[in-house]
Amino acid sequence: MDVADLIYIGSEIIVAVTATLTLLMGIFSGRYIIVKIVSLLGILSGLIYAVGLWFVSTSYVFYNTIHANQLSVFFKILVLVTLLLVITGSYDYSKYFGKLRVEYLSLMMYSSVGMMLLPASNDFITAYISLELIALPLVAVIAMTKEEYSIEASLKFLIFSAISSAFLLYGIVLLYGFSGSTNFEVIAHILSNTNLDSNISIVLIAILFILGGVGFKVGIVPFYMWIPDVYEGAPTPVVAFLSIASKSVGFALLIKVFLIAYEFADWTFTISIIAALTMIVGNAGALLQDNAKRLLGYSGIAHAGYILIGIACFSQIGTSTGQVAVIFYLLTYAFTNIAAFYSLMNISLSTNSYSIQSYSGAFFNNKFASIVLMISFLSLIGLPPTSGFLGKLYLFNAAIKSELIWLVLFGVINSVFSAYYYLKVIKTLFDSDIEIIKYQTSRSYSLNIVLICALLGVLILGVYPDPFLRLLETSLSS
Amino acid sequence: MLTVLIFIPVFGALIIPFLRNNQKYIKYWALAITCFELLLSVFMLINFDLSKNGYQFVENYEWIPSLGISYHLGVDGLSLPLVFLTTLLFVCAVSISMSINTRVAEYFFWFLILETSVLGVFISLDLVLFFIFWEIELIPMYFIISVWGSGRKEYSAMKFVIYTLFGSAFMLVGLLITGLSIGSFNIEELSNITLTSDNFLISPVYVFIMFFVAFAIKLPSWPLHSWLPDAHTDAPTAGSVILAGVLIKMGGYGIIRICVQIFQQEAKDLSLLLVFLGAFSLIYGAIITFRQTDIKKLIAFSSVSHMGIVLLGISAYKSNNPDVASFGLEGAALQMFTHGTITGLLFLSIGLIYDRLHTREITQLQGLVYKAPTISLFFVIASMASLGLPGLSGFVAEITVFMAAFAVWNWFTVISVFSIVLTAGYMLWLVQRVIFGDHIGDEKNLQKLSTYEYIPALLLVASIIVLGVYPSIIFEFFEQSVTAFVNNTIGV
Repeated sequence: MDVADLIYIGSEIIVAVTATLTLLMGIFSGRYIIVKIVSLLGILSGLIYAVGLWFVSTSYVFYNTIHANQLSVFFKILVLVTLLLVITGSYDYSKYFGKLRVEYLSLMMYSSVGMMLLPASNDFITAYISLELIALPLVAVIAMTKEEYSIEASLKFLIFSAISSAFLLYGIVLLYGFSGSTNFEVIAHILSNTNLDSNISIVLIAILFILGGVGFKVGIVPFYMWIPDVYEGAPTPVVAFLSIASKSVGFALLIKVFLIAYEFADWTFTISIIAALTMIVGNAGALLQDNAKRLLGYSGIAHAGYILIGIACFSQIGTSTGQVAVIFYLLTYAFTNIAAFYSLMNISLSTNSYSIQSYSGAFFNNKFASIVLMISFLSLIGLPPTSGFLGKLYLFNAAIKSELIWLVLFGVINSVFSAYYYLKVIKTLFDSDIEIIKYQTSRSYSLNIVLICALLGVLILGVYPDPFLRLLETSLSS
Repeated sequence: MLTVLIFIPVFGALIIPFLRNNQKYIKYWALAITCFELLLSVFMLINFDLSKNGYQFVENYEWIPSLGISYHLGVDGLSLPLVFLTTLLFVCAVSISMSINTRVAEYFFWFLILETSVLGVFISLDLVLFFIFWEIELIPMYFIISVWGSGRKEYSAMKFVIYTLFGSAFMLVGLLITGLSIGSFNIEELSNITLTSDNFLISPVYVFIMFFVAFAIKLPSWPLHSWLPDAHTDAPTAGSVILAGVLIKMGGYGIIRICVQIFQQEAKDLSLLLVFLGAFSLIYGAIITFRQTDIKKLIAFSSVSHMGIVLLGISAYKSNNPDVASFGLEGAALQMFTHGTITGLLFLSIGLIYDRLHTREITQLQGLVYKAPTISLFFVIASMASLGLPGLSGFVAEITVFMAAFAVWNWFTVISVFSIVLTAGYMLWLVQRVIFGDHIGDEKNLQKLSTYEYIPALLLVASIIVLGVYPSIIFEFFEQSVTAFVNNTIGV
C-alpha cells in the first residue's frame, strides 16, 4: 500500500473526521447550530473534494480492494449531495431527537462513509464491511425519536440487515470456495475462463444469495417486507436518506455483481421476472395505504422494480446503455424522493400526522410545500415534464433495445395504475370540499431551501438532462 | 413563432400567482392571453402559404441528442386549422368562465397550462415531444374536472386519467419501438420511410395497434369510450367545451398524423377494423342517446357517434383512387373541426341553461324558449348543425365522409348513413322536449346574457354558418396537407 492511495478516499476521510469532530463538539459545546454548521461544512468540503476527484484518473488502490473510477466518484457525489440536503432540511425536525440531535448528525455521516465506499469497492470483503457500516449507524438513528413505533422499526431494520448480511456472506463464501478469491475482477476472470459445467449450480446459487443479500437493501421481491414498517416508523429525514442513498449504492453493488454474473449465464429472464413481481407488489401494496410514508415505502419497492428492468437488459445490448439508464434513474429518483419526503415533512411538522387524511386542504395552509409535493408525485408517476418521465423513458428505451417488450409493457401499465394512488394524495392536498382546518405552518427557511433545490433538480433533469447524460456516458466509458 | 404560440399560455399561467388574488385581474389576464393566442393563430392562418407542400413555421433544435429527441415544431394544413380551433375554443371557454368565483387563480392557471399542452400536441413533429404534450394535458384536466366539476366528479376525473394513461402506456412503447427501429423520432422523416418487418423490431402492425389504442381511447371509439360520458357530464361548462371541442380531436389528429401517415401500409391493411369501429360507434352512440335523461350525457354520446364519422372517413384511405382517399381524410379532418365548434356551442348553451335553472334533466326543462329565447336560439342552431342540416357546417363534413367511404365500403356506409336519421331523431326530440312544449315553472325573468356569454356563442355560431356556406376556406388547408400526402403514397 502506498500512502498516496489515501487521496482516493479523501472524501470518506473528511466526512469521517467531521463526524467524529461533531460528536466531540456535541459533548463540549452546547450550541446546536454551530455543530450543525461545522458538520455541513465538513460534508460540503467532502463534496468539493469528490468533485475534484472526478478529474483524477482511474486506478486500483489498497491492494486492489478499491477501484477508484469516475463511476464511484459519481456515486460519492450523489450520496454527499443527498446527505447535504437531508441534513440541511432536518433542522426543524431535530426537535424530535431531543438531546440526541448531535449524535443524529454524526451517525448519518458515518453511515454515508459506508455508502461512499461501497460503489468504489472492488472486493467482496470491502463491500461487506461497507454494507455493515451503512446499516449499523442507521439502526441507531431510526430508533432516535424513542417512540415505541420507531424502536420497533429499528429492531426490524436490525434483524433484516443481519439476515441480509448472512445471505450475502453465504454467497460470498460460495464464490470464494469456487474461485479462491474475493476480488471482483479475479472472480470474473476465473468464472469466464473456467469450464463451469459441473459447478454451474454452485455459482448460480452463490449469485442468487448475493442477489438476495443486496435485494434486502434495495427492497426487491421477495425481500421487501421490512420497507413499509421501517419507513412508517423511522424519522422522516432518515427515511429519505435510506430510500435514496442506501438504495442507490445498493444498486451500484448489484450492477457490479451482475456485470460479473452476466459473464457466464444469461440472467435476463430471472431478473425480468423479479422486476415484474417487484413492480406489482409495490404498486398493489401502495393502493391500500392510508399513511403517506408507508405509501412511499411501497412506491419505493415499485421503483426498485423499474430499476431492475435496467439490470435485466445488461446482456443483450452491452452493459453501458443499461447502466446509464439505471444510474440516471437513480439520480432522478434521488431528487424526486427528497422533494416528496421533505414536502410531506414540511406539512406534517404542523399537523403531526402522516395519515393521508391529515393532508386534506394542505394547499390552503402551506402552498409551497403542496406544490412541491404535487410535482414530486407527478415525477414518481412518470409524467412529463418532470425528471421521473425521462428516467422511465431511458429505462424503457434500454429495455426495448434488448427486445424486452413484454417487460416494458408491464412496466408502463404498472405506472398507469400507480397514478391512481399518487393522484389520490394530490387530490387530497387540493381538496376544498371538506372544512379546512387552518393551522400555523412552520416557516423554516432551511427546509424551504432544500425543497427548492430538490424541485430544481426534478425539473432541470426533466427538461434539460443532456449534460448529465453526457457526463454519465463519459464516466462509464472511462 | 410556434414556440411563442405554445409558451405564452405557460407564461401567462406563471404570472397568475403574482396577481394578488384579485379575481378581476386574473380573469382579464387569462382572457387577454387566450385572445392573444387567437390573434396569433389567425395571423398564422393568413401567412400560411397554401401553394407550398410540407410543414411551415418549422423550428428544429436538438434537445436530447443521446436519445435522438429533438425540439421540432411545425404546422401544415392539417394541424393549423386545429390550432385555430383550439385557440378559438379557449377564448370561448375562458370567456364563459367569467362567472366562476371559487378558486379563481387555480382555475385559470390550469386552463392556460391546458392550452399549452393541446397546442403542443398539434404542432410537435417529434414523437417524444408529441407524447410529452399529450401527457401534460392530463393533469390540468384532472383538476378542472375534480375541483370545479359536479356530480361524481372525482370518480370521473380519475377514470379519465386512468383511461388516457392506459392508452399512452401503449403509445410510449409503440413510439420507443418505432424510434429504435428506424433511429429517428422525427414524424416527417418517418412518414417518408416504408416500414417493413425487416427494419422493425416487431411487426409494424402491432406498433400500429399500440398507437391506435391510445388514439381510439382519446377519440373515443367504441369500446373504449366509457370515460367520455362521465367526464363530460361532470366537468364544468368550460371544461366540457374544451374536452369535446379540442381534447378528443387530439385522438383523431393522432390517427391521421401518426397511424395513417407513418404506418401507411398497416392503416390500409387494418382499415376494416377502422371502418367497423367507426360504423359501430356511429350507430351505437346514436342509439344510446335515446335513453339519456341528462342533456350533457346525451350530447356526450352524440360525440361518440360523431367521432365514428371521423374513423369512417379515415378508413377510406384504403382506396386506390387518390381522390377518394384524400376526400375521406379531408372529410374526417373537417368533421373534427366542425364537431369542435358545434359541440362547443351545444355545451356552452347547456352551461348557460344550467347556470340559470340549476338542472340538466330533460324532463324539468320544458318550454325554454319562453324563458330564455336567446339561449334557445343558440341551442337550436347548434343542434341543427349537429344533425347535419344543409347550410350549416355539420352537413358538409358528413356528406364528404359518406361520399368517400361509400366508394370503398358500400355496405358499411349504407348502414352508417342511417345514423343521420337517428341523429335527426334524437336531436329533434331533444329540442322539442327542452326548448318547446308547454312551459313549466314560473321563473319568467331569467338573467340576461352578459357580454362575456354572448361573445363566445356568437363566435361559434359565426364559424358554423360560415363553414356551412363556404367550407372551402378551411378545406383548402386540409387539401394542402392531405392531397400531397395521398398523392405521394398512392401515386397517380
